[in-house]
Amino acid sequence: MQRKGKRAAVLMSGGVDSSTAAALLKKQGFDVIGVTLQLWDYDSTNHRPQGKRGCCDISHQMDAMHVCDVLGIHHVVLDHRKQFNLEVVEPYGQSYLSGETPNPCVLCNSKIKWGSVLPKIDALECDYLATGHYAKIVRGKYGIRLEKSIDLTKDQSYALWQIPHQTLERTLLPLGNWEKKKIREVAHQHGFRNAGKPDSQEVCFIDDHYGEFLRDTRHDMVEAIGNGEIIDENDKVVGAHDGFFRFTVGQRKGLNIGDGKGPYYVVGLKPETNQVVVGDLNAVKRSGCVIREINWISFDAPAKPEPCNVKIRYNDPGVPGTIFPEENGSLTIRFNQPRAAVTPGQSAVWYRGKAVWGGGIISMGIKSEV
Amino acid sequence: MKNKDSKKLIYMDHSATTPVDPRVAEIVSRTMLEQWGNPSSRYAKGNEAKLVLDGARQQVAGLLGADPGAIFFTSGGTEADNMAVIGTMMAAKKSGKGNHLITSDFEHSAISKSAQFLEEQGFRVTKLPVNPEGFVEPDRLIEAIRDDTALVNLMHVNNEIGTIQPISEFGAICRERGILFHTDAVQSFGKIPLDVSTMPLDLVSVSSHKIYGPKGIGALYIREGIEIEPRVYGGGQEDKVRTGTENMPGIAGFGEAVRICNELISTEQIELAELRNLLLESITESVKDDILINGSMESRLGANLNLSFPGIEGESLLLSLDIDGIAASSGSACSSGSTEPSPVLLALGLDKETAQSSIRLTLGRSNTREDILFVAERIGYHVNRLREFAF
Repeated sequence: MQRKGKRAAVLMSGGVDSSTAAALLKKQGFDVIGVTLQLWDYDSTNHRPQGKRGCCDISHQMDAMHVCDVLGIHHVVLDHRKQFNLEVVEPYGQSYLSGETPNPCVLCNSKIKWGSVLPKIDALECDYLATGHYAKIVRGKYGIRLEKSIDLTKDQSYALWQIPHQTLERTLLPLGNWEKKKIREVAHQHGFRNAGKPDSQEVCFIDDHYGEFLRDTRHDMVEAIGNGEIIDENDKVVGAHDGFFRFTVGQRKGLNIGDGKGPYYVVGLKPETNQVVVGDLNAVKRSGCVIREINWISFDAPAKPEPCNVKIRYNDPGVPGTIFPEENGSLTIRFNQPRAAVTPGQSAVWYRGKAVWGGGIISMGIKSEV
Repeated sequence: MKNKDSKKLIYMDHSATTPVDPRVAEIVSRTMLEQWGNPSSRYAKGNEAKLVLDGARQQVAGLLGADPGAIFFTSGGTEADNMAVIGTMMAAKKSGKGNHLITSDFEHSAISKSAQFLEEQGFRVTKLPVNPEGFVEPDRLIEAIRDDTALVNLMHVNNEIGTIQPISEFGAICRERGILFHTDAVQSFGKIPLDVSTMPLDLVSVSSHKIYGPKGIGALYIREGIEIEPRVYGGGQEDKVRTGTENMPGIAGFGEAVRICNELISTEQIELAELRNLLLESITESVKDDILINGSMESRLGANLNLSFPGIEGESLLLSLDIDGIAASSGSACSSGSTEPSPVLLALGLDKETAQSSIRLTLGRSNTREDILFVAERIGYHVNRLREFAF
């Protein structure tokens, strides 16, 4: 068979971004195959209420198929429901129940898209894996690196820190040099029926509150946890709650403490006693954090402490800090100014310039030494 | 799909469905544009439609060796199967003729889900095993029959491995004991001879879209005198067994498709078997290592080939072939979409991994010698490539 050029598998959710990514790659001369991942089974879980649409909904699959038809490219659906459940949904619930706050998109990228999907597209003789993420792969004289997209309002490099360095060579992120509004224009120009579709928000398999999801999927465990106390840092009971896992470190809303001394912030969670610890803004500030599960994606670990810019949650623009690599491979981060809401379980991602230097999971915050 | 670089499609999934014969399409079109009357109406326009209906019924009856009055049109094979199994069992229960159904391990889901429904309603169901060659053994049937057995259902040709079951023997065993026998002949009708005037068959399900006719139309043969509880209620068409205004374009097209089959039935499967054997031979040459043939090559539909390539994932092979413009399947289209191993192959005794390394190729009228050689070359290329690939 004649191959017209390098073959790229574009992961197509049926949204505007990945649809346009496919169009751009085709224009660049790639032999493009559209791949839609089936990750979640609404029929069997019955979790999604009628009328609401998730990202694995058949209508989104049909949107992706429509776009491939318009572009004249091949479309396949790959069933990764089992892996998604095992590698993303299970750890997601586990994280909350251990008192942390997970980033499921990070796991989905590293375990599914750049994990179990890669051998599948290898089997289809694809040279590259491409997605509609707003981030850039830069091939320079210091090697290959992952960078922020030029549209900083859309930058998704934070969610990609966990993908292995060696997969960058095989990755194409065609939207990295584009602004979102231009991408919509391109989609309209191609006549894609999903050109006006709203951006996806939040976690794709959660509709309402993750607390309801946990109650539905881990009913017995959640029942056993039951109601608990809200305490201050001196162990004084200041309120009540219906399960510690419903709270996130740094959270201010939804505490319902009526003693007039607020605002209160969640400072910590105590799964073993089902307690939520609250305090004032000062109490929730941390001067740094301890990091686990580190991945050096663009550059190697430095030998000595180095300045960097650190993001500690998805929409965080980032703040200056210093990374302290330890002999044993672990890492501590110090922020130049103490930060509120340093949330265990969330990803910390450190940047050198525009490049994602590395990332890891926040194990715990380090108290200010004032 | 438009704009696919004019890549030619090589279709090798004729057990899933077939392209409509242009002669059939013309009849369908004529029924919609010209003979559009309601066959129940008593004026000329209705009579015109009634003649079309009657002609099609005679075609279907003719190929089955049946009386036209014993042919009941349905929305397809699934409905015919449901009517036969559920309708007969419900009627048998009502008249106290027993509540035990015998079927097999590798029936189409139209049967297995009907059996499941009956079990939930309190009926008793026995499922006969399939031997490793892909046949239900008549002795197993004899052993399973009980005093309260009302119906035996066993398919004629298996949809995945193409083995032709000894339905005359099954039918004879049932008839001797006064038990009704239904066969799902969706995969055999129009391809191999079926004659209810000489074979001991009481109920036979057939379908149009497997024989180059339109989708959404099929029929159930019901031997005269057998009681069926209807599942649809209304104006009383099809002798009240399957009421509702007739799907006239579908019925007329089905009739024409059957007429064409009647012309070809004596030679078509022999020719396809030759092509199928060439395909198997060529694949054996092009694939370096083991190939397993699923189901006996004796007593098998000429058009069917079902192979396992241990060590690869069938899904990757099928998707790679699809990219090359070759349509094949992993098994029943009615259960695909899922990557679960085929229950039919598991019933033959294959382990899960081997079952998932399988593909089904079913040939048809459009396939040429060149197609066969090309497909064999591509299968060899992909299987050898995927086997070197470390998962």
